Amino acid sequence: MDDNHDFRKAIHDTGVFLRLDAEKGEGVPLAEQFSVNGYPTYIVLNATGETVDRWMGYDDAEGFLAALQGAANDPSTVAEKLTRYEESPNACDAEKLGDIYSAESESQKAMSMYRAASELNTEPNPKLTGKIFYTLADGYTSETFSLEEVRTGADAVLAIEAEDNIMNLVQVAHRMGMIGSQAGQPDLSTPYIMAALQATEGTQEPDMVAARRELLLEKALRIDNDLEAAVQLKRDSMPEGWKDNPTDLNNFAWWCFENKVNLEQAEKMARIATDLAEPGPEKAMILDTLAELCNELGNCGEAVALMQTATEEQPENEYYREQLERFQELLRQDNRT
Amino acid sequence: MRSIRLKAPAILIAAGLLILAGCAGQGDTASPDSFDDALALAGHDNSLILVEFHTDW
Repeated sequence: MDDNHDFRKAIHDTGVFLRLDAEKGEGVPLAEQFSVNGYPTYIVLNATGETVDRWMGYDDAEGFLAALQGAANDPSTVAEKLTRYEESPNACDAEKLGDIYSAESESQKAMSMYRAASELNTEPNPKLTGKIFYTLADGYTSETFSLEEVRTGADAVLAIEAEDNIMNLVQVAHRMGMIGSQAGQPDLSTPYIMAALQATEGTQEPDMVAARRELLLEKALRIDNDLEAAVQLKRDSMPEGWKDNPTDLNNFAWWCFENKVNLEQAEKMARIATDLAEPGPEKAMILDTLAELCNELGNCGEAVALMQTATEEQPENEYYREQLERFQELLRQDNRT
Repeated sequence: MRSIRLKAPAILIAAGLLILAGCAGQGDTASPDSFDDALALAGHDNSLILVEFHTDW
């Protein structure tokens, strides 16, 4: 298949294609106007600028083309889709509205639509059950949903016995690991990791092999508590040439920081990444990682200096200013004791 | 700070963006310079607009 040809044809058939850098020029106010929360975000608009569909990221070329085709097949606006659904409730419109609200990070509205779709569906739908879990998990991070609600969503995924549920199981295990750490409940992910490992046993499919490697890492980290094995598995999972790539080095260093393992080496790698990074947002992001590591290793003074530089690299970033203030406050407290 | 890449695996996003980047400015695809241009172009034949929000880093 000539992906490029198919993409070009699909976009040509859609009509007009506009690429906007969300951090430059008119992309900045437009990203705010359309509540863009992650990249890449795709929004399909009609000729008067009303939203017809939107999604964030995509798994593969086929998925992207299917999303685009779906928007072209139903060019009604979001408001029109909602009216249609209210006049004649159906699972298809409910799920689509759930998708759009989810891409807008409107967790409550998305969940309400997904639940309606689930009730209207006559057959079990692993994909929809997965979407319900992801929405609950996103909503937990933004404090919209409780841990119990997230766990109920994860258990619903676990209860499905279907071949096309395996990736859902993998994603659930991964997200529950993160949520468990956040909630201070490292055991939370155990049943989900074990179920996903069982489902992916013997897999040859490259995506699944990579996913399984991540699961083994999670198991070493969260279930076996074998930190040495976890760090080795993390190293093995890094792409070729990662030690020369600032983003990969940052990912590794940030993973070490988040899991409080291998901190000395992580600090060294973050320093190399800082030297390799392009000035601006990339350098600022890595300086933030390095500052966290320095602070974790007891060098709060350097963390302050690093965040000072990060705010100079990306002055408009509010998070870095907050980080600077946080480390300054920690340093003041250190000096008092 | 965690790298700001979302949802799909980064490598797939990167591949997709390259393919899509090749679509902008091609002769067979209307490629406007601005949002207002996009609306004007779409207004001619009441077509749809696909907007991609991305970052360069």
